[in-house]
Amino acid sequence: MSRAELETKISAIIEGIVLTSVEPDTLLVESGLVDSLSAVDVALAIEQEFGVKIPPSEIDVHLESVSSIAAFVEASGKA
Amino acid sequence: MRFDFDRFDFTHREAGAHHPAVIHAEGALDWAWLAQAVEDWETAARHNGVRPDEPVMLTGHKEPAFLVAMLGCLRLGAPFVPVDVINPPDRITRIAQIVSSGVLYDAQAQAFRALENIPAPLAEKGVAYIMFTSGSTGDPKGVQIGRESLGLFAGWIRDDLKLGESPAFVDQILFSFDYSLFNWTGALATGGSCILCTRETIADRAAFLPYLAKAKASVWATTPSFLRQQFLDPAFSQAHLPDMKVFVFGAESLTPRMAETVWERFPEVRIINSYGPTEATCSTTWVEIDPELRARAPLPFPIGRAKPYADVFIADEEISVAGDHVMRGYINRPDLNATRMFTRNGKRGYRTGDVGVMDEAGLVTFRGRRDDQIKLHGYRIELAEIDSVLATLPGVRAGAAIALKRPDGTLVRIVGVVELSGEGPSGLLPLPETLADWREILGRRLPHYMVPSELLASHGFPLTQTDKADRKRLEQLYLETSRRPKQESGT
Repeated sequence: MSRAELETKISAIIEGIVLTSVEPDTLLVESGLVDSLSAVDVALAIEQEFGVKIPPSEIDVHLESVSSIAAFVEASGKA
Repeated sequence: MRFDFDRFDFTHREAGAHHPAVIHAEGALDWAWLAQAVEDWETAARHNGVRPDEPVMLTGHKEPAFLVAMLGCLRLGAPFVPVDVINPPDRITRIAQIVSSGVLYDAQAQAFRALENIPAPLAEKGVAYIMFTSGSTGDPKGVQIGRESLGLFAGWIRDDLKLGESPAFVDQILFSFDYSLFNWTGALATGGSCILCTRETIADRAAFLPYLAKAKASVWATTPSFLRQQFLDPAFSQAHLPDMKVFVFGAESLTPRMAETVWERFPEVRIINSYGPTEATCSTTWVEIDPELRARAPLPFPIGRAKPYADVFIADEEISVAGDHVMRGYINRPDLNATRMFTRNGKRGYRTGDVGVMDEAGLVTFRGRRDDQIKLHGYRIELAEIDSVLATLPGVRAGAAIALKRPDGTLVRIVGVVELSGEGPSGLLPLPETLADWREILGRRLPHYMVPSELLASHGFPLTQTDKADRKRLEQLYLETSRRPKQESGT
Protein backbone atom coordinates (compact mmCIF):
# COMPACT_ATOMS: atom_id res chain seq x y z
CA MET A 1 0.00 0.00 0.00
CA SER A 2 1.38 3.42 -0.89
CA ARG A 3 1.66 6.12 1.76
CA ALA A 4 -1.20 8.07 0.11
CA GLU A 5 -3.43 4.99 0.10
CA LEU A 6 -2.58 4.31 3.72
CA GLU A 7 -3.46 7.88 4.68
CA THR A 8 -6.76 7.68 2.80
CA LYS A 9 -7.63 4.52 4.66
CA ILE A 10 -6.70 5.99 8.05
CA SER A 11 -8.61 9.21 7.28
CA ALA A 12 -11.72 7.14 6.60
CA ILE A 13 -11.32 5.34 9.94
CA ILE A 14 -10.92 8.64 11.79
CA GLU A 15 -13.88 10.14 9.95
CA GLY A 16 -16.07 7.27 11.11
CA ILE A 17 -15.04 7.94 14.69
CA VAL A 18 -15.08 11.75 14.97
CA LEU A 19 -17.74 12.32 12.29
CA THR A 20 -15.86 14.88 10.26
CA SER A 21 -13.36 14.75 7.39
CA VAL A 22 -9.72 15.18 8.28
CA GLU A 23 -6.65 15.97 6.22
CA PRO A 24 -3.38 14.08 6.71
CA ASP A 25 -1.97 16.97 8.74
CA THR A 26 -5.11 17.90 10.74
CA LEU A 27 -4.11 17.92 14.40
CA LEU A 28 -6.39 15.34 15.96
CA VAL A 29 -5.77 15.52 19.69
CA GLU A 30 -4.60 19.11 19.88
CA SER A 31 -7.58 20.42 17.91
CA GLY A 32 -9.98 18.70 20.26
CA LEU A 33 -11.44 16.41 17.60
CA VAL A 34 -10.07 13.31 19.29
CA ASP A 35 -10.47 13.19 23.07
CA SER A 36 -9.19 10.54 25.42
CA LEU A 37 -12.19 8.32 24.74
CA SER A 38 -12.18 8.57 20.95
CA ALA A 39 -8.44 7.95 21.16
CA VAL A 40 -9.30 4.52 22.54
CA ASP A 41 -11.61 3.93 19.58
CA VAL A 42 -8.95 5.08 17.12
CA ALA A 43 -6.29 2.85 18.70
CA LEU A 44 -8.63 -0.16 18.61
CA ALA A 45 -9.68 0.52 15.02
CA ILE A 46 -6.06 0.85 13.89
CA GLU A 47 -5.23 -2.39 15.66
CA GLN A 48 -8.14 -4.15 14.00
CA GLU A 49 -7.41 -2.81 10.52
CA PHE A 50 -3.61 -3.10 10.43
CA GLY A 51 -2.81 -5.52 13.25
CA VAL A 52 -0.55 -3.04 15.04
CA LYS A 53 -0.94 -2.18 18.67
CA ILE A 54 -0.23 1.39 19.74
CA PRO A 55 1.25 1.24 23.25
CA PRO A 56 -1.14 3.07 25.64
CA SER A 57 1.62 5.39 26.84
CA GLU A 58 2.41 6.48 23.26
CA ILE A 59 -1.12 7.19 22.12
CA ASP A 60 -0.84 10.97 22.26
CA VAL A 61 2.35 10.91 20.18
CA HIS A 62 1.15 8.60 17.42
CA LEU A 63 -2.37 10.00 17.27
CA GLU A 64 -1.19 13.52 16.53
CA SER A 65 -2.45 13.34 12.94
CA VAL A 66 -3.39 10.92 10.19
CA SER A 67 0.10 11.24 8.83
CA SER A 68 1.72 10.36 12.17
CA ILE A 69 -0.52 7.30 12.46
CA ALA A 70 0.48 6.28 8.93
CA ALA A 71 4.13 6.66 9.87
CA PHE A 72 3.60 4.43 12.90
CA VAL A 73 1.81 1.76 10.85
CA GLU A 74 4.56 1.86 8.20
CA ALA A 75 7.29 1.64 10.80
CA SER A 76 5.60 -1.45 12.19
CA GLY A 77 5.93 -3.02 8.76
CA LYS A 78 2.22 -3.76 8.47
CA ALA A 79 1.35 -1.41 5.64
CA MET B 1 -12.49 1.71 62.97
CA ARG B 2 -15.04 3.11 60.58
CA PHE B 3 -17.02 6.29 60.00
CA ASP B 4 -20.68 6.21 60.94
CA PHE B 5 -22.65 8.30 58.44
CA ASP B 6 -25.76 8.27 60.65
CA ARG B 7 -24.03 9.87 63.63
CA PHE B 8 -21.22 11.49 61.62
CA ASP B 9 -18.43 10.26 63.82
CA PHE B 10 -15.75 7.62 63.98
CA THR B 11 -16.85 4.44 65.66
CA HIS B 12 -15.32 1.13 66.82
CA ARG B 13 -12.18 3.15 67.41
CA GLU B 14 -10.23 0.34 69.05
CA ALA B 15 -10.35 -2.02 66.05
CA GLY B 16 -8.02 -1.66 63.09
CA ALA B 17 -6.63 1.73 64.07
CA HIS B 18 -3.51 0.93 62.07
CA HIS B 19 -5.29 -0.44 59.05
CA PRO B 20 -4.89 1.90 56.05
CA ALA B 21 -7.82 4.31 55.69
CA VAL B 22 -6.52 6.55 52.93
CA ILE B 23 -3.96 5.59 50.32
CA HIS B 24 -2.36 8.21 48.12
CA ALA B 25 0.71 8.56 45.95
CA GLU B 26 2.94 9.22 48.94
CA GLY B 27 1.84 6.23 50.96
CA ALA B 28 -0.84 4.89 53.28
CA LEU B 29 -2.49 6.81 56.12
CA ASP B 30 -4.10 4.72 58.82
CA TRP B 31 -7.43 5.15 60.60
CA ALA B 32 -5.81 6.61 63.73
CA TRP B 33 -4.17 9.26 61.53
CA LEU B 34 -7.47 10.01 59.80
CA ALA B 35 -9.43 10.46 63.05
CA GLN B 36 -6.73 12.78 64.41
CA ALA B 37 -6.44 14.75 61.15
CA VAL B 38 -10.19 15.32 61.10
CA GLU B 39 -10.13 16.61 64.69
CA ASP B 40 -7.25 18.96 63.91
CA TRP B 41 -9.03 20.19 60.80
CA GLU B 42 -12.14 20.96 62.82
CA THR B 43 -10.16 23.03 65.31
CA ALA B 44 -8.62 25.05 62.49
CA ALA B 45 -11.98 25.34 60.73
CA ARG B 46 -13.66 26.80 63.83
CA HIS B 47 -10.89 29.39 64.09
CA ASN B 48 -11.56 30.30 60.49
CA GLY B 49 -15.25 30.91 60.98
CA VAL B 50 -16.70 27.57 59.86
CA ARG B 51 -20.13 27.23 61.50
CA PRO B 52 -23.06 24.80 61.33
CA ASP B 53 -25.43 25.32 58.37
CA GLU B 54 -23.08 27.80 56.65
CA PRO B 55 -21.66 26.39 53.41
CA VAL B 56 -17.89 25.89 53.15
CA MET B 57 -16.21 25.80 49.74
CA LEU B 58 -13.72 22.94 49.41
CA THR B 59 -11.34 23.01 46.45
CA GLY B 60 -8.59 20.66 45.37
CA HIS B 61 -8.08 17.43 43.51
CA LYS B 62 -8.24 14.07 45.26
CA GLU B 63 -5.92 14.98 48.15
CA PRO B 64 -6.21 13.23 51.54
CA ALA B 65 -6.77 16.76 52.93
CA PHE B 66 -9.90 17.07 50.78
CA LEU B 67 -11.30 13.91 52.32
CA VAL B 68 -10.36 15.08 55.81
CA ALA B 69 -12.15 18.39 55.20
CA MET B 70 -15.35 16.68 54.03
CA LEU B 71 -15.42 14.53 57.16
CA GLY B 72 -14.65 17.56 59.32
CA CYS B 73 -17.55 19.45 57.76
CA LEU B 74 -19.87 16.50 58.38
CA ARG B 75 -18.84 16.38 62.04
CA LEU B 76 -19.23 20.14 62.44
CA GLY B 77 -22.56 20.24 60.64
CA ALA B 78 -21.23 22.67 58.05
CA PRO B 79 -22.50 21.90 54.52
CA PHE B 80 -19.53 21.36 52.20
CA VAL B 81 -19.42 22.42 48.57
CA PRO B 82 -16.78 20.27 46.86
CA VAL B 83 -15.30 21.79 43.71
CA ASP B 84 -12.44 20.14 41.87
CA VAL B 85 -9.84 22.48 40.39
CA ILE B 86 -10.88 21.15 36.97
CA ASN B 87 -13.38 24.03 37.26
CA PRO B 88 -12.06 27.40 36.09
CA PRO B 89 -11.64 30.01 38.87
CA ASP B 90 -14.57 32.09 37.55
CA ARG B 91 -16.90 29.15 37.96
CA ILE B 92 -15.63 28.49 41.49
CA THR B 93 -16.21 32.14 42.40
CA ARG B 94 -19.71 32.02 40.94
CA ILE B 95 -20.55 28.86 42.90
CA ALA B 96 -19.32 30.49 46.13
CA GLN B 97 -21.61 33.46 45.39
CA ILE B 98 -24.61 31.24 44.77
CA VAL B 99 -24.21 29.51 48.15
CA SER B 100 -23.12 32.74 49.97
CA SER B 101 -20.04 31.04 51.34
CA GLY B 102 -17.69 33.16 53.42
CA VAL B 103 -14.88 30.65 53.66
CA LEU B 104 -12.95 28.40 51.32
CA TYR B 105 -10.63 25.56 52.25
CA ASP B 106 -7.94 24.88 49.67
CA ALA B 107 -6.95 21.22 50.08
CA GLN B 108 -3.92 21.68 47.84
CA ALA B 109 -2.47 24.48 49.97
CA GLN B 110 -4.07 23.04 53.14
CA ALA B 111 -5.18 26.56 54.01
CA PHE B 112 -8.39 28.47 54.67
CA ARG B 113 -9.22 31.62 52.77
CA ALA B 114 -11.88 34.19 53.57
CA LEU B 115 -14.21 34.96 50.66
CA GLU B 116 -15.85 38.27 49.83
CA ASN B 117 -19.39 36.95 50.16
CA ILE B 118 -21.32 37.73 53.31
CA PRO B 119 -21.76 34.32 54.93
CA ALA B 120 -25.32 33.30 55.65
CA PRO B 121 -26.81 30.13 57.05
CA LEU B 122 -28.82 28.08 54.55
CA ALA B 123 -32.59 28.24 54.72
CA GLU B 124 -32.46 24.42 54.79
CA LYS B 125 -31.05 23.08 58.07
CA GLY B 126 -28.96 19.95 58.36
CA VAL B 127 -27.63 19.93 54.81
CA ALA B 128 -24.66 17.57 54.38
CA TYR B 129 -23.33 18.96 51.12
CA ILE B 130 -24.21 20.96 48.04
CA MET B 131 -23.04 19.64 44.68
CA PHE B 132 -23.25 21.62 41.49
CA THR B 133 -24.38 20.24 38.18
CA SER B 134 -24.70 21.87 34.80
CA GLY B 135 -27.67 24.24 34.64
CA SER B 136 -29.60 25.23 31.56
CA THR B 137 -29.71 28.94 32.45
CA GLY B 138 -25.95 29.29 32.18
CA ASP B 139 -25.42 29.09 35.93
CA PRO B 140 -24.63 25.71 37.45
CA LYS B 141 -27.33 24.56 39.86
CA GLY B 142 -26.67 23.53 43.45
CA VAL B 143 -28.21 20.30 44.73
CA GLN B 144 -28.68 20.34 48.52
CA ILE B 145 -28.47 16.90 50.09
CA GLY B 146 -29.58 16.47 53.69
CA ARG B 147 -27.61 14.64 56.36
CA GLU B 148 -30.29 11.93 56.57
CA SER B 149 -29.79 11.10 52.89
CA LEU B 150 -26.06 10.48 53.17
CA GLY B 151 -26.61 8.06 56.07
CA LEU B 152 -29.04 6.02 53.96
CA PHE B 153 -26.63 5.90 51.05
CA ALA B 154 -23.61 4.83 53.09
CA GLY B 155 -25.72 2.28 54.98
CA TRP B 156 -26.73 0.65 51.70
CA ILE B 157 -23.09 0.15 50.66
CA ARG B 158 -22.21 -1.20 54.11
CA ASP B 159 -25.19 -3.51 54.58
CA ASP B 160 -26.53 -4.52 51.18
CA LEU B 161 -23.58 -4.94 48.83
CA LYS B 162 -21.75 -7.66 50.80
CA LEU B 163 -18.28 -6.40 50.01
CA GLY B 164 -16.50 -8.43 52.68
CA GLU B 165 -13.98 -7.35 55.30
CA SER B 166 -12.07 -4.10 54.77
CA PRO B 167 -12.70 -3.54 51.07
CA ALA B 168 -10.29 -1.22 49.27
CA PHE B 169 -12.12 1.22 46.97
CA VAL B 170 -10.48 2.77 43.93
CA ASP B 171 -11.43 6.43 44.13
CA GLN B 172 -10.73 8.22 40.86
CA ILE B 173 -13.91 10.27 40.37
CA LEU B 174 -13.60 13.98 41.11
CA PHE B 175 -15.09 14.97 44.48
CA SER B 176 -17.30 17.54 42.74
CA PHE B 177 -19.28 14.72 41.08
CA ASP B 178 -21.62 12.92 43.41
CA TYR B 179 -20.70 9.56 41.92
CA SER B 180 -17.43 9.93 43.85
CA LEU B 181 -19.44 9.43 47.05
CA PHE B 182 -19.68 5.74 46.27
CA ASN B 183 -15.98 5.09 46.72
CA TRP B 184 -15.10 7.36 49.62
CA THR B 185 -18.21 6.92 51.73
CA GLY B 186 -18.12 3.20 50.90
CA ALA B 187 -14.53 2.89 52.08
CA LEU B 188 -15.11 4.86 55.26
CA ALA B 189 -18.48 3.31 56.16
CA THR B 190 -17.09 -0.22 55.88
CA GLY B 191 -13.82 0.43 57.70
CA GLY B 192 -11.94 -0.29 54.51
CA SER B 193 -9.54 1.91 52.61
CA CYS B 194 -9.94 4.62 50.04
CA ILE B 195 -7.33 4.56 47.26
CA LEU B 196 -7.11 8.14 45.98
CA CYS B 197 -6.17 8.40 42.31
CA THR B 198 -5.16 11.78 40.98
CA ARG B 199 -4.97 12.66 37.31
CA GLU B 200 -1.19 12.31 37.54
CA THR B 201 -1.43 8.86 39.12
CA ILE B 202 -3.77 7.68 36.37
CA ALA B 203 -1.71 9.23 33.56
CA ASP B 204 1.45 7.44 34.69
CA ARG B 205 0.39 4.20 33.06
CA ALA B 206 3.42 2.17 34.06
CA ALA B 207 2.86 2.99 37.73
CA PHE B 208 -0.94 3.02 37.96
CA LEU B 209 -1.55 -0.74 38.03
CA PRO B 210 1.20 -1.52 40.55
CA TYR B 211 -0.20 1.31 42.70
CA LEU B 212 -3.67 -0.25 42.71
CA ALA B 213 -2.30 -3.75 43.21
CA LYS B 214 -0.16 -2.72 46.17
CA ALA B 215 -3.19 -1.07 47.77
CA LYS B 216 -5.10 -4.35 47.28
CA ALA B 217 -7.84 -2.67 45.24
CA SER B 218 -11.02 -4.73 45.52
CA VAL B 219 -14.00 -2.48 44.73
CA TRP B 220 -14.23 0.10 41.99
CA ALA B 221 -17.21 2.27 41.16
CA THR B 222 -16.55 3.99 37.87
CA THR B 223 -17.97 4.74 34.43
CA PRO B 224 -17.81 2.33 31.49
CA SER B 225 -15.96 5.10 29.62
CA PHE B 226 -13.17 5.30 32.16
CA LEU B 227 -12.69 1.57 32.41
CA ARG B 228 -12.66 1.19 28.64
CA GLN B 229 -9.59 3.43 28.53
CA GLN B 230 -7.84 1.17 31.04
CA PHE B 231 -8.49 -1.87 28.85
CA LEU B 232 -6.06 -0.55 26.24
CA ASP B 233 -3.41 -1.80 28.61
CA PRO B 234 -3.27 -5.59 28.17
CA ALA B 235 -1.95 -5.91 31.73
CA PHE B 236 -5.19 -4.48 33.11
CA SER B 237 -6.45 -7.84 34.34
CA GLN B 238 -7.04 -10.11 37.30
CA ALA B 239 -3.45 -11.35 37.04
CA HIS B 240 -2.19 -7.87 37.91
CA LEU B 241 -5.05 -6.85 40.21
CA PRO B 242 -5.64 -10.13 42.06
CA ASP B 243 -7.77 -8.55 44.81
CA MET B 244 -10.41 -7.05 42.49
CA LYS B 245 -13.84 -8.36 43.46
CA VAL B 246 -16.52 -5.88 42.42
CA PHE B 247 -16.95 -3.37 39.63
CA VAL B 248 -19.84 -0.96 40.04
CA PHE B 249 -20.92 0.95 36.96
CA GLY B 250 -22.93 4.13 36.79
CA ALA B 251 -23.41 7.49 35.04
CA GLU B 252 -23.67 5.79 31.63
CA SER B 253 -25.43 2.84 30.07
CA LEU B 254 -23.77 -0.53 30.65
CA THR B 255 -23.76 -2.77 27.60
CA PRO B 256 -23.34 -6.57 27.53
CA ARG B 257 -20.25 -6.04 25.40
CA MET B 258 -18.63 -3.92 28.11
CA ALA B 259 -19.53 -6.44 30.81
CA GLU B 260 -18.08 -9.30 28.77
CA THR B 261 -14.87 -7.35 28.24
CA VAL B 262 -14.62 -6.94 32.00
CA TRP B 263 -15.17 -10.67 32.56
CA GLU B 264 -12.60 -11.57 29.91
CA ARG B 265 -9.98 -9.73 31.95
CA PHE B 266 -11.45 -10.38 35.40
CA PRO B 267 -13.29 -13.70 35.20
CA GLU B 268 -14.16 -13.82 38.92
CA VAL B 269 -15.50 -10.32 39.56
CA ARG B 270 -19.05 -9.30 40.37
CA ILE B 271 -20.53 -6.57 38.18
CA ILE B 272 -23.14 -4.22 39.58
CA ASN B 273 -24.99 -1.61 37.58
CA SER B 274 -26.40 1.37 39.43
CA TYR B 275 -28.30 4.52 38.53
CA GLY B 276 -29.41 7.71 40.12
CA PRO B 277 -29.37 11.46 39.65
CA THR B 278 -27.25 13.73 41.86
CA GLU B 279 -30.61 15.02 43.12
CA ALA B 280 -31.16 11.68 44.89
CA THR B 281 -27.81 11.07 46.60
CA CYS B 282 -25.71 9.29 44.02
CA SER B 283 -27.72 6.16 43.40
CA THR B 284 -31.33 5.10 43.56
CA THR B 285 -31.52 1.76 41.74
CA TRP B 286 -29.12 -1.14 41.43
CA VAL B 287 -28.83 -4.61 39.99
CA GLU B 288 -26.15 -7.25 40.00
CA ILE B 289 -25.49 -8.71 36.55
CA ASP B 290 -26.22 -12.29 37.60
CA PRO B 291 -25.94 -15.36 35.32
CA GLU B 292 -29.58 -15.02 34.22
CA LEU B 293 -29.19 -11.36 33.23
CA ARG B 294 -25.84 -12.08 31.65
CA ALA B 295 -27.34 -14.81 29.50
CA ARG B 296 -30.26 -12.63 28.49
CA ALA B 297 -27.85 -9.77 27.61
CA PRO B 298 -30.34 -6.94 27.00
CA LEU B 299 -28.90 -3.83 25.31
CA PRO B 300 -28.38 -1.93 27.48
CA PHE B 301 -28.54 -3.72 30.81
CA PRO B 302 -31.32 -2.48 33.12
CA ILE B 303 -30.33 0.16 35.67
CA GLY B 304 -31.85 -1.96 38.41
CA ARG B 305 -34.55 -2.01 41.02
CA ALA B 306 -35.30 0.57 43.70
CA LYS B 307 -33.03 0.42 46.74
CA PRO B 308 -34.73 -0.43 50.05
CA TYR B 309 -35.21 3.22 51.00
CA ALA B 310 -36.24 4.44 47.53
CA ASP B 311 -39.59 4.59 45.83
CA VAL B 312 -39.18 4.46 42.05
CA PHE B 313 -42.00 4.71 39.53
CA ILE B 314 -42.60 5.72 35.95
CA ALA B 315 -44.95 8.66 35.49
CA ASP B 316 -45.76 9.68 31.93
CA GLU B 317 -42.69 7.71 30.72
CA GLU B 318 -40.43 9.61 33.13
CA ILE B 319 -38.37 7.91 35.86
CA SER B 320 -39.48 9.48 39.13
CA VAL B 321 -38.04 8.87 42.56
CA ALA B 322 -39.17 9.57 46.11
CA GLY B 323 -37.69 8.95 49.54
CA ASP B 324 -35.53 10.46 52.24
CA HIS B 325 -32.57 10.31 49.87
CA VAL B 326 -34.10 12.91 47.55
CA MET B 327 -32.52 16.37 47.75
CA ARG B 328 -33.89 19.19 49.89
CA GLY B 329 -34.03 21.24 46.72
CA TYR B 330 -31.84 23.30 44.41
CA ILE B 331 -30.39 26.24 46.27
CA ASN B 332 -32.14 29.53 45.39
CA ARG B 333 -34.11 27.99 42.54
CA PRO B 334 -37.76 27.94 43.67
CA ASP B 335 -38.76 27.87 39.99
CA LEU B 336 -37.02 24.55 39.41
CA ASN B 337 -38.04 23.13 42.78
CA ALA B 338 -41.66 23.85 41.93
CA THR B 339 -41.51 21.93 38.65
CA ARG B 340 -39.05 19.14 39.42
CA MET B 341 -40.01 18.24 43.00
CA PHE B 342 -43.18 16.73 44.46
CA THR B 343 -44.37 14.91 47.57
CA ARG B 344 -45.44 11.29 47.58
CA ASN B 345 -46.57 9.42 50.69
CA GLY B 346 -45.08 12.17 52.78
CA LYS B 347 -41.62 11.86 51.18
CA ARG B 348 -39.72 14.24 48.93
CA GLY B 349 -39.89 13.30 45.26
CA TYR B 350 -37.95 14.27 42.14
CA ARG B 351 -38.76 13.96 38.45
CA THR B 352 -35.50 12.92 36.83
CA GLY B 353 -36.14 13.95 33.23
CA ASP B 354 -34.90 10.46 32.28
CA VAL B 355 -37.22 8.33 30.20
CA GLY B 356 -37.54 4.73 31.32
CA VAL B 357 -39.60 1.58 31.41
CA MET B 358 -40.20 -0.78 34.31
CA ASP B 359 -40.92 -4.49 33.92
CA GLU B 360 -43.24 -6.52 36.15
CA ALA B 361 -40.30 -7.46 38.40
CA GLY B 362 -39.55 -3.78 39.02
CA LEU B 363 -36.42 -3.70 36.85
CA VAL B 364 -36.02 -0.31 35.23
CA THR B 365 -34.37 0.30 31.85
CA PHE B 366 -33.14 3.74 30.84
CA ARG B 367 -34.36 5.00 27.47
CA GLY B 368 -32.91 8.48 27.10
CA ARG B 369 -33.64 12.08 28.09
CA ARG B 370 -36.70 14.28 27.72
CA ASP B 371 -34.65 17.46 27.36
CA ASP B 372 -31.29 18.77 26.20
CA GLN B 373 -29.30 17.26 29.03
CA ILE B 374 -26.62 14.87 27.78
CA LYS B 375 -24.07 12.53 29.28
CA LEU B 376 -20.73 12.70 27.51
CA HIS B 377 -18.30 10.08 28.81
CA GLY B 378 -20.28 10.12 32.06
CA TYR B 379 -20.24 13.90 32.46
CA ARG B 380 -23.68 15.42 32.90
CA ILE B 381 -24.05 18.46 30.68
CA GLU B 382 -26.93 20.82 29.88
CA LEU B 383 -26.41 21.89 26.28
CA ALA B 384 -28.27 25.11 27.12
CA GLU B 385 -25.52 26.05 29.59
CA ILE B 386 -22.99 25.86 26.76
CA ASP B 387 -25.35 27.86 24.51
CA SER B 388 -25.49 30.70 26.99
CA VAL B 389 -21.71 30.84 27.37
CA LEU B 390 -21.23 30.73 23.58
CA ALA B 391 -23.52 33.74 23.35
CA THR B 392 -21.06 35.78 25.44
CA LEU B 393 -18.35 35.52 22.75
CA PRO B 394 -17.61 38.84 21.03
CA GLY B 395 -19.66 39.62 17.92
CA VAL B 396 -21.98 36.72 18.61
CA ARG B 397 -25.76 36.94 18.85
CA ALA B 398 -26.57 33.44 20.04
CA GLY B 399 -24.99 30.03 20.52
CA ALA B 400 -26.12 26.45 20.10
CA ALA B 401 -24.29 23.31 21.15
CA ILE B 402 -24.94 20.00 19.46
CA ALA B 403 -23.93 16.56 20.64
CA LEU B 404 -22.76 14.38 17.76
CA LYS B 405 -23.96 10.80 17.87
CA ARG B 406 -22.60 7.77 16.07
CA PRO B 407 -25.10 5.51 14.33
CA ASP B 408 -25.11 3.21 17.40
CA GLY B 409 -26.22 6.12 19.57
CA THR B 410 -22.97 6.80 21.46
CA LEU B 411 -22.18 10.46 21.89
CA VAL B 412 -18.84 11.38 20.43
CA ARG B 413 -18.27 15.06 21.05
CA ILE B 414 -19.86 18.47 21.28
CA VAL B 415 -19.80 20.93 18.40
CA GLY B 416 -20.67 24.57 19.01
CA VAL B 417 -22.27 26.90 16.50
CA VAL B 418 -22.46 30.66 16.98
CA GLU B 419 -24.81 33.00 15.20
CA LEU B 420 -22.82 36.04 14.10
CA SER B 421 -24.19 39.56 14.28
CA GLY B 422 -24.80 40.96 10.83
CA GLU B 423 -25.61 39.47 7.43
CA GLY B 424 -23.80 36.74 5.59
CA PRO B 425 -24.08 33.53 3.58
CA SER B 426 -26.16 30.67 4.88
CA GLY B 427 -24.89 27.32 6.13
CA LEU B 428 -22.08 26.51 8.55
CA LEU B 429 -19.00 28.62 8.08
CA PRO B 430 -15.49 28.76 9.49
CA LEU B 431 -15.06 31.19 12.37
CA PRO B 432 -14.03 34.78 11.70
CA GLU B 433 -10.52 35.81 12.81
CA THR B 434 -11.98 37.79 15.70
CA LEU B 435 -12.97 34.55 17.41
CA ALA B 436 -9.58 32.87 17.10
CA ASP B 437 -9.20 32.67 20.89
CA TRP B 438 -12.65 31.14 21.51
CA ARG B 439 -11.26 28.11 23.28
CA GLU B 440 -9.42 30.23 25.80
CA ILE B 441 -12.47 32.41 26.46
CA LEU B 442 -14.78 29.45 26.97
CA GLY B 443 -12.18 27.72 29.15
CA ARG B 444 -12.45 30.57 31.63
CA ARG B 445 -16.15 29.88 32.11
CA LEU B 446 -16.58 26.16 31.53
CA PRO B 447 -14.83 23.00 32.74
CA HIS B 448 -12.91 21.41 29.86
CA TYR B 449 -15.43 18.63 29.30
CA MET B 450 -18.06 21.25 28.41
CA VAL B 451 -15.92 23.19 25.95
CA PRO B 452 -16.97 22.18 22.40
CA SER B 453 -14.45 20.21 20.36
CA GLU B 454 -15.05 22.49 17.40
CA LEU B 455 -16.77 25.83 16.83
CA LEU B 456 -18.44 27.00 13.64
CA ALA B 457 -20.25 30.15 12.62
CA SER B 458 -23.60 30.78 10.98
CA HIS B 459 -25.90 33.62 10.07
CA GLY B 460 -29.15 32.37 11.53
CA PHE B 461 -29.98 29.01 13.12
CA PRO B 462 -32.69 26.69 11.87
CA LEU B 463 -35.49 27.09 14.42
CA THR B 464 -37.94 24.72 16.07
CA GLN B 465 -41.66 25.50 16.16
CA THR B 466 -41.09 27.23 19.49
CA ASP B 467 -38.37 29.42 17.96
CA LYS B 468 -35.47 27.73 19.69
CA ALA B 469 -32.34 26.68 17.85
CA ASP B 470 -33.16 23.34 16.25
CA ARG B 471 -30.31 21.12 17.46
CA LYS B 472 -31.40 18.14 15.36
CA ARG B 473 -31.32 20.11 12.13
CA LEU B 474 -28.04 21.75 13.08
CA GLU B 475 -26.57 18.30 13.67
CA GLN B 476 -27.80 17.11 10.26
CA LEU B 477 -26.42 20.24 8.63
CA TYR B 478 -23.08 19.64 10.34
CA LEU B 479 -22.88 16.01 9.27
CA GLU B 480 -23.87 16.86 5.69
CA THR B 481 -21.21 19.53 5.32
CA SER B 482 -18.38 18.15 7.43
CA ARG B 483 -18.00 14.74 5.84
CA ARG B 484 -16.43 14.42 2.47
CA PRO B 485 -18.39 12.46 -0.17
CA LYS B 486 -17.63 8.74 -0.07
CA GLN B 487 -14.68 7.80 -2.28
CA GLU B 488 -13.75 4.45 -3.68
CA SER B 489 -11.34 2.86 -1.29
CA GLY B 490 -7.86 2.44 -2.75
CA THR B 491 -7.54 -1.21 -1.81
